[in-house]
Amino acid sequence: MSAPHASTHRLLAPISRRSFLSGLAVTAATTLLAACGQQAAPPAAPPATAVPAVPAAKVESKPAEATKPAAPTSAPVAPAAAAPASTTAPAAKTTSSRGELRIAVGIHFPGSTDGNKDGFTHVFWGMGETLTRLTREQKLEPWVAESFTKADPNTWRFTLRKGVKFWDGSPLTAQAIADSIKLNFETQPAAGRFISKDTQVTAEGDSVVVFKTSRPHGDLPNSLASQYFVISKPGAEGASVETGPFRLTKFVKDQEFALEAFADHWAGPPALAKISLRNAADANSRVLALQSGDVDMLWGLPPEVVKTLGPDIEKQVLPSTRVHSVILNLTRPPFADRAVREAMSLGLDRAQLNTVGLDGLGAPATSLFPKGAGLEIADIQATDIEKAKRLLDEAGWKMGADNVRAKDGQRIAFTLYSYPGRAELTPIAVAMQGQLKLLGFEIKVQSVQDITAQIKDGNFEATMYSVNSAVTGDPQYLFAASVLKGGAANFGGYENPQMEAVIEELRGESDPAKRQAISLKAQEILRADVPNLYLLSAPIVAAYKKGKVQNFAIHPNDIYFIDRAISVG
Amino acid sequence: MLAYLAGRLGWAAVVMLVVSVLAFGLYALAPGDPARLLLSASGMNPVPEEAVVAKRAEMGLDDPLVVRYLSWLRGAVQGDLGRSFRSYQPVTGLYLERLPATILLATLATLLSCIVAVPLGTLAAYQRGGPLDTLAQLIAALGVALPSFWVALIAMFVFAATLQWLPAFGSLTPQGIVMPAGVLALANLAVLTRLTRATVLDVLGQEYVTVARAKGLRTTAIARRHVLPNVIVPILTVLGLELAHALTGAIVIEYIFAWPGVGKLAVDAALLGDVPIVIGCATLAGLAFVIVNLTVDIGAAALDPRVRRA
Repeated sequence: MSAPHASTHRLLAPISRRSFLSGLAVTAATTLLAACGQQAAPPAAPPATAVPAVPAAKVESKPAEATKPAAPTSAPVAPAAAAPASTTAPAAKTTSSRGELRIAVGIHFPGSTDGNKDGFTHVFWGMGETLTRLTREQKLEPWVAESFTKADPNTWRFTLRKGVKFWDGSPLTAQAIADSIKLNFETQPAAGRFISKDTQVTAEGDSVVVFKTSRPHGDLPNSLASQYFVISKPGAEGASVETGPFRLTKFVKDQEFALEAFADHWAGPPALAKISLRNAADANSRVLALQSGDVDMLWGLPPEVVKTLGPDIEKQVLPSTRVHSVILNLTRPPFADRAVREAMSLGLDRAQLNTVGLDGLGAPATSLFPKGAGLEIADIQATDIEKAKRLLDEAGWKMGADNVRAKDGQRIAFTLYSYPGRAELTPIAVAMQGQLKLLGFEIKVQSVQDITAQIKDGNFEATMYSVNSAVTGDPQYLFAASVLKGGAANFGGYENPQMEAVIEELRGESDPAKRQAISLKAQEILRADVPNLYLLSAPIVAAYKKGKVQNFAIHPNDIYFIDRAISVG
Repeated sequence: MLAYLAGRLGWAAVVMLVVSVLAFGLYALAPGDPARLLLSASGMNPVPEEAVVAKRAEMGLDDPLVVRYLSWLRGAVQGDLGRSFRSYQPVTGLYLERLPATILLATLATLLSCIVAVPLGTLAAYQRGGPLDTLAQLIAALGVALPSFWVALIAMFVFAATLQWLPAFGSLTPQGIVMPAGVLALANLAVLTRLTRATVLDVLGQEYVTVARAKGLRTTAIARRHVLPNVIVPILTVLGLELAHALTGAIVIEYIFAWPGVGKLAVDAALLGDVPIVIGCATLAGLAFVIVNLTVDIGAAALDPRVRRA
């Protein structure tokens, strides 16, 4: 019956087949039990990085809140739902935080418990704060600062709000701000792009911070709204201590994190008691999780899944300050010829690109800033195919037998690069390929992983690109980055002394109205030179079960999301 | 047997070395500059060149690839697979943190598929051409043909979004594991059912079965004493492969269900260009295969004397 045990195989000979199988079964069962046992004890999931517990400081009386609950703009919030506690006890200090909001996202998940390493997500999730910030209308307002003034062209004075505390209960002093800015400069190389690192930051008493710059810096208060200048101090185990309305209580890298209300926040306790966040890369599974009630809210949905949301889901859609554009290489044919650039711009139907690439949820761009950026806009772009053809004919680009225009043997044939980091860019590029074929352009679309590596040495003719056009709520940053000589995003080699002069003028001006006028002047130069083509403003989409989320409206600038007003119904 | 064991172990070491070279080769193949990808993934856009230069130096990317491989290998044999580009946490630690969740999922799915597939395949073979056989064939065909991401999304749609019986995302709770394990088991089940059926059919045609029948043994006795022992070895081999596959992270399943396992760790890292984690996961995936294969080989040798002698 059973196989004879060869005497030479002593090692295994004593084990019968039956005992091996039963052993196997026992081992499997034990493994399973052990693994299941792990689930009762937390460490089966990666252990949550312990966020140092901060002793809750007692609530003291503080002036009424400075932030008004956001008035939802694009979607009505069910007013019939139970009134939040705050309305029954208006602005009283006893207002307590209540309820939990469960959110799932695929992007903007914090990479670190240190706000100074990842200021972007810390400000986004309501943990970190900056001296100034941008309103939904993209206007600058003091935030942790109470006010600011320009003492002379090189000196700015910021007066701090009273009663601002760190999560550990210690007061936010002017010296703490100076230390925090110093840390920002040390930790983040790019902070110097916004404010020169030779800027001297000093405390004057407890509540005044003085910034002395080496040359006039007209938008310094705007630059301080950048997430690179998040206010923090080092805490235990690499986590930072910040001042925002929510503090981190649980952090599992790439998986989930939890926030709890910081009751001692300077504007009073936030409306929500708890926020938990789940990171799920697949957009379809996030939508299903919302429909199943696993989570209450989604932020940052790709446009193409919006139409799959059921009728019980409320959605908010808002074109954001992020602009998708095409950078042209001005140092090479065919785009060295201005006529080709302008014809390309005139030949694009941006409304159709919006439909194709963004399901119609974005907005066509008419200048380098989108409509929602709160900045003055000169409409420097439009569609006019006949004019485009005329321009090309006049410039000597004649249609060839292969339906591609050419001049002196040079055909208008080029590669348009795209990249997968922003999924919608490639479909938009393909749609452009079709639109411009009618003009006699032969375009090959190619997607590359690392777009900056591809284009940084000028090794391209045209490329898709996407930037947040209004990081600081002021025009200066984007002009400096994209159309000045040496700008970080000026890959096409555009330079115009006139533009340099106008932006220098902008640097020295601090009157907001005059700054807008200068910005319009700079946009006129772009109209004349057409160095880049601005395509679409990308939409931000948020979705939640009807009536579940209240006092929420999308901020068009995707550096902000959670504030102290958002609540659950 | 000892010689057999030693031979297997030797091969395992060679395989691991090759795997490590291939995995480390990802550094050379990964598109773009890891430093820049890293910075732009952290939201810096556009990325200033001075930040990239600083990051490259910090990440030690300026040494030649061979030098970096050797120093990585020296660490790897001691269990140190380097550090994540993004979080600076040790890769080994990150992997081990996620491993229990993956082991749980893999073991459950494999057991589940085994419990269903072996009886189903055996019965199908005994009733060849009958309705049960047709059902088994259908399940096998569907399991192989339907892509698991699709099955996963449909399962989420039906059981989470519509019926609301189960949570949509996977989690380490009894309810949270049902769907990921079920969907993962389905694909394994298909292969295993077909294999069991084919092997049982093959064995049933053997002379010793005819002899046993002629002796007057009951069908159940034949199945238990003559058929099962002979089909168990090939099934064990495939089962081992499936377990190893699930252990390396059923990447699609973990991705869709946001399951906190090693597969998701690898995907998240790949999406963000965190090469050390990807390399670590690839190497450890190789290790999981080698270990499971070795175990299966030894098991097969213990069960089947023919294997030992070969």
